[in-house]
Amino acid sequence: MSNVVTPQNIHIATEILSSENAKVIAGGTDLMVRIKQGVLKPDVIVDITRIESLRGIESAKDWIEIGAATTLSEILGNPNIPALLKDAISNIGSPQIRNLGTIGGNIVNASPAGDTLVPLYLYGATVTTTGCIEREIPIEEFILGPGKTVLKRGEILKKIKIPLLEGYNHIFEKVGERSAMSISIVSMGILYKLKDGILQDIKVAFGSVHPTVIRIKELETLLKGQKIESETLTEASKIIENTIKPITDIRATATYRKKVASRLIYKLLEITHQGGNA
Amino acid sequence: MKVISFTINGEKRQVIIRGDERLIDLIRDELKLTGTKEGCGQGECGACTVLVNGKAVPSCLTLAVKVDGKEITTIEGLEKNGILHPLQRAFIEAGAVQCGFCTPGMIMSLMELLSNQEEVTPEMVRRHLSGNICRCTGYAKIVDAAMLAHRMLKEMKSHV
Repeated sequence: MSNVVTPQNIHIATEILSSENAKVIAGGTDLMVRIKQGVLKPDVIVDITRIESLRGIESAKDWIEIGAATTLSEILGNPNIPALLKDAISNIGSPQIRNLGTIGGNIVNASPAGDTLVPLYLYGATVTTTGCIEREIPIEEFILGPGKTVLKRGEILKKIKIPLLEGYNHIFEKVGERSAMSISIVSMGILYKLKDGILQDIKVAFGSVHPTVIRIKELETLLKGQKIESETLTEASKIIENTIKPITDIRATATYRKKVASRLIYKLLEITHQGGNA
Repeated sequence: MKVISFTINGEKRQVIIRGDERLIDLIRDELKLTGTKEGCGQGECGACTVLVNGKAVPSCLTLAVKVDGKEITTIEGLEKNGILHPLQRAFIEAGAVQCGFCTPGMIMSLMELLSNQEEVTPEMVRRHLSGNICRCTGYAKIVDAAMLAHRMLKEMKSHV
């Protein structure tokens, strides 16, 4: 049986975390299931949702900062959230899950299928951790592999800072068994600028097809400055297939994931029919 | 063990709970409010949905300590002085109940939607119920019931 503590400030929370077999709980949408199954048996559960400084959204001209314990519903309700992140979050779980689940939880879980991660990688978000010292780390360096981050014992994730990129359109595609409550089999996010039929800039990331969310720079270099044409996309498709390293699991086989991920890039063709807005 | 206090269906309560107790166990086993159902126990089916400070949450994924100082509404809290809430009446009138196991969760999810939106469309209802699973009805009558309740609530508002 675990003891639960609900500290009111970060200092007390990190102190408990560094001295005991403790686990942070925010929304609990993932943790509660693992605790119930007996996979996780912490002596102490530290509920961080009452720490005011971990909650809320602050925005400036060039960036937006989200407290780690801010719920996904609260984020969806904020008018300044970048469109691709909003799109990805509205695909997570169900309204009930989004009322509980937090952005920090989604990041710290470090699941290759974490739906907030694809947009965070594309926007070039940084996260701030706190413990003995405060560290600001780019998201792609924070996450090391499935379930693994650079967080040390006694440290918690404090906030996420997202640069607001101007003039980008986006595409977000999530392939799963149904639209609600499903864990991605493959997901793809794209940020792009299109002018006179030419891709001025493009950033592409995939989820669920690699140990971490993956941005494929080689693909971006290929597409940048190009018209969107099927020959180019066929080449792009090959790069994706050769770069990603998916696994076979209960949701899909590695072969299926490779096929779907490499074909998803053809979604770019749709924007040429829509005057640049996907 | 921990002492927490909260309001449930308008009534103030103070209870002693186990630290890792789930909200659904507090509601069903301690408070004997068995209208709230447990389906999957993993937040997938929505049967255990209750309102905490007006937000619909799966009570199977919520730690009981998290409701300390908060306000909970369960299906039992909707009826006032023997009169059913419009949503409950609409479910009966539209024939939206078959086995009934998902009904309390459906209604509590819809409570959140109907209390926060001036205008509601069938599409919004379907989206808002995406976390509630029903094995019997095929959902059509549930959506009908939600729209009927929406009309009833609007009418009541216009009479005030």
